[in-house]
Amino acid sequence: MDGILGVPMSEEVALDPALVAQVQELDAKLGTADLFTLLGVPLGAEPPVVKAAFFALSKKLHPDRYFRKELGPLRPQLERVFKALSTAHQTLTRPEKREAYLAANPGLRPQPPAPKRVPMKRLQWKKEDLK
Amino acid sequence: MADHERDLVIGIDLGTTNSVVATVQADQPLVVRTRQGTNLTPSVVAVSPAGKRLVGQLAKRQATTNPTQTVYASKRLIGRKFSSAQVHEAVGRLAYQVACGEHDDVRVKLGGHEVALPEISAMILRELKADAEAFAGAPVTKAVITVPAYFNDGQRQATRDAGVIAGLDVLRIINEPTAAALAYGFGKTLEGKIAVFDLGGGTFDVSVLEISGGVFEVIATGGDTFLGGEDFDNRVIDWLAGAFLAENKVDLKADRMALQRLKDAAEKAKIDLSTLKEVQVSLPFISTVAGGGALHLQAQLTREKLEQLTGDLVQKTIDICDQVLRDARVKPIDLREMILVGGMTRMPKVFEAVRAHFKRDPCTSVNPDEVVALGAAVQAAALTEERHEVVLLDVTPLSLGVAVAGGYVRRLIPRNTTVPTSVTELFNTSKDGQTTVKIIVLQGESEIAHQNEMLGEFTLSGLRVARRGEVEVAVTFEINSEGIVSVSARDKETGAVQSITVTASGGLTRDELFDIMDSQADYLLETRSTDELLSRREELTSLLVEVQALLPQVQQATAGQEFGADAVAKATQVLEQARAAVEKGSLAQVTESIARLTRAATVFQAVLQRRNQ
Repeated sequence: MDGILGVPMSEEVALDPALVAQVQELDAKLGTADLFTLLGVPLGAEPPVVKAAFFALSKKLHPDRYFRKELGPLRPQLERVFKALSTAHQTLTRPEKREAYLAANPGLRPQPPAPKRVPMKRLQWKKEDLK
Repeated sequence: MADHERDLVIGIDLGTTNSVVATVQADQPLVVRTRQGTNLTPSVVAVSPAGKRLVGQLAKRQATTNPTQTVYASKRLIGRKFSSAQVHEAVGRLAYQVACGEHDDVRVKLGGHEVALPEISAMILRELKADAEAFAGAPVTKAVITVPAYFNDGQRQATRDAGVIAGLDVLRIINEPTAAALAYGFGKTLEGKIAVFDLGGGTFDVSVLEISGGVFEVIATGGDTFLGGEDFDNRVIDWLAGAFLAENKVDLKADRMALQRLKDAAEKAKIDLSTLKEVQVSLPFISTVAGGGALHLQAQLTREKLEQLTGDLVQKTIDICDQVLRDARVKPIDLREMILVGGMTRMPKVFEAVRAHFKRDPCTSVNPDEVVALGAAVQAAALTEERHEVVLLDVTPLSLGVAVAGGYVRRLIPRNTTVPTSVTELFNTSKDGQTTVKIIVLQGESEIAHQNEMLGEFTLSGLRVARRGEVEVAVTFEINSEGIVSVSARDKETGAVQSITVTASGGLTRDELFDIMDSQADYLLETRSTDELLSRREELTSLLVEVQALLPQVQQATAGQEFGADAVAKATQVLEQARAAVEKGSLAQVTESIARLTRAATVFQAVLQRRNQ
C-alpha cells in the first residue's frame, strides 16, 4: 500500500479470504443457478428485495472497489460475477424482462397468495347492520 | 514524495463554455481556483497574432479582435464526423474555420495548422492541470473527466484521448449528471430516487437515479448532445442579425469579426435577462456602409422576447425528460429531488418549465456551474482511496447492435443497461457458401442500420463452406465502466477470434455505411429467429405494460367524447391481441402486434396531450 515513486499500474493487495470464497462460490453458480438464488434472495422475491440485495453485493463486489489493484486470477472472476449479478438484477427488476424470465421459468414464480377475504362484502354487511 | 502524502487526484468538468477542476481535501470536495483567481476557466483556445497560444480567460478576452484564431465551443465538434448534420449546422455559425480530417473527423484551422479536436481539448485540460499543480505545489496526473451522459462511443474516446495528450492519467470518464448526483449526495444519508436536469453550454442530459446506502444507480438517462446555451445564443444572434439585415441590408453573420461581437453580446444579453426584464444591446461600429460611413447596432431585448425566441428549445428539454421518466418508470411524484445543473438552468423560463413539469421546486442548494466537477473529484477520490463510500452504477445511454441482412439492426445491448456489461449472441451465415462475415457495429435507436452511428467494422473469415445458416458465429459486445465499447466475433467451429476496440478514427461517413450495407449484403449475418422472437416478445411486453398503464387515464379523458371512445375500443382489442401474441404468437404475429400497439400508444399520447392543453 506504500506509495513509491513510479507506482506500477496495479498495486498488490491483501485479499480477504472470505471475499475470495464468495467470488469463487458465485462464479461456480453462473449458468446453473437461477437469478434469485444467484442474488441470494427467495424465489419470486419482489423487485425492491432484489434491488436491496444487489446494492449490498455491489458495495462488496463492484470491480471499482478494486480499481487498479492486483487481483491475479480473481480479477476475471470478479468481473464475470459482477456482470452476471448486474444482469440478474436488471432482469428481475425491469417489468418486461422479469415477466419474460418468469414466463420462461414458471417454477420460479412465487406461490400464489392464499385467496383473500373480501373486505368489501363485510363493509356492506356493516352498512346493512346499521340500517 | 513522502509515503503518507497522497498525490492530489482531481475531477474535471470539461464543459462547452466553461471548465472546472476540483479535488477532495479533508473529506470535502472543493473547486480548485485558477491561477487567475477564478473558479471557471472559459473553454476557449486561441493563437495570438504574435503566434502565442492562449487558453481560458486570456483567450476569451481577445476573441473579438482575433475571431478566426479563437476556438470556442469545440466540445460540440469533438468525436463527431465532419459529414454529420450537427457539424454542418455548427460550422455555419463559427467564426473560426474547420476542415475535414482523414477519417471524416473535424479539424480546426489554428495558427497555420489543422488541429484535431482532442488536441484542442487537451490544451484546456493542460491549463486545468497546471492550475491544480499550482494549488497542490506538486505534479498532478490522476484525473476523472466528465462527459455528457448522452455522448456516444466516439465522443467518449476522443475525450479520453484529449486527457492522455494533456499528460493526464485518466482514471475514468464519467457522466456529467451522474457526477452531479454524486456531489449532491456526498456526505448525506440520502435514500430514494432523484432526477438531474443538466442544461449546459452545448449539451442537455437528464438522468434518473436511485440512491441507497452510498450506491448511486442510474435507472435511465437521455439527452441531446446538440442542445444547450449555444443554441439559445444563436436564436438571439439570428434575431439581432435579422433585424439588422432588414434595416441596413448588411449580413453581419458573414463578417467574422461582427459575428464574434454579436455572439458575445447575445450571450451577455441572455445572461442579464435571467435577472433583468429587459436589456439594451449596443454594438457601435459593427459594420460600414459602401460609402464609408459606420453602422451601429442598437436593440432592446426583453425577457419575454427571449423566451419567445427559445420556447421550442425549452420544450425540447421537457419532452426528453418525459421520455427518460417513462424509461425509468418513474412518475414526477416519486422523485425525492430535482437537481438543476448547468448555467442555462439559471434562465427563469427553464427553471419555471422544470418546476411546472415535475411539480416541485427544484433543488437550489448546488452551484450549477461547479457541481459536476465536484462530483468528478468525489469519484476520483473513491477510486483511489482505501475507503469506499460510494459505488456508481451507470448505464449506457445508447443501444448497441450489429447490422444484419436486410439492412436492419440486431440489438445486443439496449439503452439504459447497467455498465460494465457484456453480451454474447449466436448468429448464422446468411448465404450458402459464405466463408466471411462482416461485423458492423452500430450505436443508436433506429431499427434501420444506416440511421445509426457506425462505430466500426471488422471481418471474420475462414468459415467452413456450408449451407446458409449452418455455420455459427458468436458475437460478444462489451461496454466498460466508461461506456466504451469493444466487440469480438468467434467462429464456433474453429475457435478463430477477431476483435476490435472500436475507435473514433475508424469511423465511416453515413454514405459509406449505406454503400457497405448495399454492396456487402452477402457478408452480413442473420439473426437466429428464436433469439429475435425472444427479444421481440420482450419489446411487446414492455409496450403492453406502457399502453395498459395509460388506458385508465385515456378512458377518463375521453369519457363521453366520440373521438376518444373509438380509440379506447380499438386499443382494447389491440391489447387483447398483443396479450395472445406474447403468450404464443409467431415472430410475424408478435411483430405485427408491436406495430399496432405502437400506433395505439401514439394515439393515447395525443389524446392525453390534447387533454392537458
